[in-house]
Amino acid sequence: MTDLSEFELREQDHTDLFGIFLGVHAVPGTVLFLHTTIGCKFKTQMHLVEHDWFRESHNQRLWTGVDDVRLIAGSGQRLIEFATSWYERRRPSLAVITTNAAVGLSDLDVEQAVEELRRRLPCPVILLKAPGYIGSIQRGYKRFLEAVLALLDWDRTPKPNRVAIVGYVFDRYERDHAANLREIQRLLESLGLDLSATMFGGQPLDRLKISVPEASTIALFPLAHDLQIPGGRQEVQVPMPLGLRGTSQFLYAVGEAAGVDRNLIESVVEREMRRAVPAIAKAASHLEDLRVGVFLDSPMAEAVTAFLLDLGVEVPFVSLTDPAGADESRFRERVSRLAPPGSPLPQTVLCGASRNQAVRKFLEVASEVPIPVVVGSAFHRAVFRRRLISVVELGFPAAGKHAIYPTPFLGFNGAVALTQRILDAAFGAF
Amino acid sequence: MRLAYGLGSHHNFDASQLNFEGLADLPLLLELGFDVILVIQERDRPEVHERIKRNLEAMQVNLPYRLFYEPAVLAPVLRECQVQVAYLSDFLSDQAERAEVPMVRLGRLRPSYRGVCDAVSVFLRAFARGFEGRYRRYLGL
Repeated sequence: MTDLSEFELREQDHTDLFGIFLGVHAVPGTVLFLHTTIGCKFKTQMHLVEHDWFRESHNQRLWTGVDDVRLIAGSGQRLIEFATSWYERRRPSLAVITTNAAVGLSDLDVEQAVEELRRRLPCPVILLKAPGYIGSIQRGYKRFLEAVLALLDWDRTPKPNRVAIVGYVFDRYERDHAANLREIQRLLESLGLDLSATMFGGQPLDRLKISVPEASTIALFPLAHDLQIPGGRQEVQVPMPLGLRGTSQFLYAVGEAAGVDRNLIESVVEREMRRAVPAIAKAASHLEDLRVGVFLDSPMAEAVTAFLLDLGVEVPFVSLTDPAGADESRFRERVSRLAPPGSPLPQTVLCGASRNQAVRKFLEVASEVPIPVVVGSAFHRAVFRRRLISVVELGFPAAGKHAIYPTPFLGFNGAVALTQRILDAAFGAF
Repeated sequence: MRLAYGLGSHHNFDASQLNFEGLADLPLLLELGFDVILVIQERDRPEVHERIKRNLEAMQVNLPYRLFYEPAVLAPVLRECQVQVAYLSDFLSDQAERAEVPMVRLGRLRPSYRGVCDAVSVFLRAFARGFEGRYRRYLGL
């Protein structure tokens, strides 16, 4: 029988195109020109509209409307006219142009058109080709990140004790991310450091241009571990500061890279542990026999799985939803590093499986012993609701979980807040 | 690795725990390679010893045992027995903690081949000492 599984819907069907747009959404004042044919652009954009109730994203996305005639005759002129006229209306500080597969196959004049736009428009213009069938949200976001890094003013003199974070996935302006960034800032301040910028964190390009290069230490989140950072600053690869152990490792890594005295780092971690652990312990003793399934992209899945294992929860099933970055052995190696030594790692780890495959396998594993809680996205809530499985929406999109109140999931405060969410899910009490 | 298997503390009608005088999980634990010692909540009286010996013999179980007469005095027994892990009723967890012995809750193990994989995972998590075990210094324990 022919294997048709490659045509099944993926866990995360967005490709580079949407990842680039997610990056654009995270940098106010940027517009994305979709130099594309007709497709599912607006349907996919709805995921972001439903995910972010705090900032609308429609006006950052403009469609040039390439039709058959322009495909054949060349669409470059259309792009120039469209982008020039819309520049006047939007006055963006950064213009990003993407092309899809159809335009990509006939784009002989698009690169020249972009060159022309660079001459005409007073703002930087980036071209990021994004055929709709390749990449992932993470890869697209990372490509945009890399392109923006190249625009920053790296000639500025770095200031001591300033830290910039690169690789933070800022997918909405709600108060979960605001609280995450505030929490990271609070912890760095305790070390005598100043979080000068986050890429991305809702800051406009003009601000990023100055504040990132002024950092003397660049902390690379997992998404950006392999990025080449211009400017020759002190770089350090950090784990996601999620959970008690992840946050502690993050503080040691950043603190040591920035030259903070180890005794100070230890005292800050001790202080925070004394505050967070007793609260988490109240829940942990009631979660010991809980089994949790995880459906997240690799960096989040690694951090969340390690934290769940630290709580004493069993994690029998993990689906890594990013098809481009998922790697089982790397996942196991990173979870081993983040989780308490000797923790039993998940028995089943799927990499970039289709949604059908992942759900079927999950149900098979759960048929042996029930798995009443899942950490995933709004997709998983829709699938598992009828089976009375509680879903903690932490991935993208989180269409049902919104943060009108500061609810971090990073840092020590995030560890407490995330424990609360898992506890609520386990007991089905909201 | 020495494991303390608790008996006589938990009174219920759970077939899986009543079965085999409460020793239904013994074959699994032996198969996993544990050196098992029974810790039985009973008065230390001659007739009790006689009954226990008779029952163990009837079930062809040739294992050492120790008695403790009420829950609050189990910790020293666990220490004296030098066990590395305990399989005990949930309300004895404070005793296991006091003896600094990781514990698996009695009745947590599952039957069949799947139960073997599950048991490995359960004991690995117990050896990781659970949240409170790992962070006891922040909890005033």
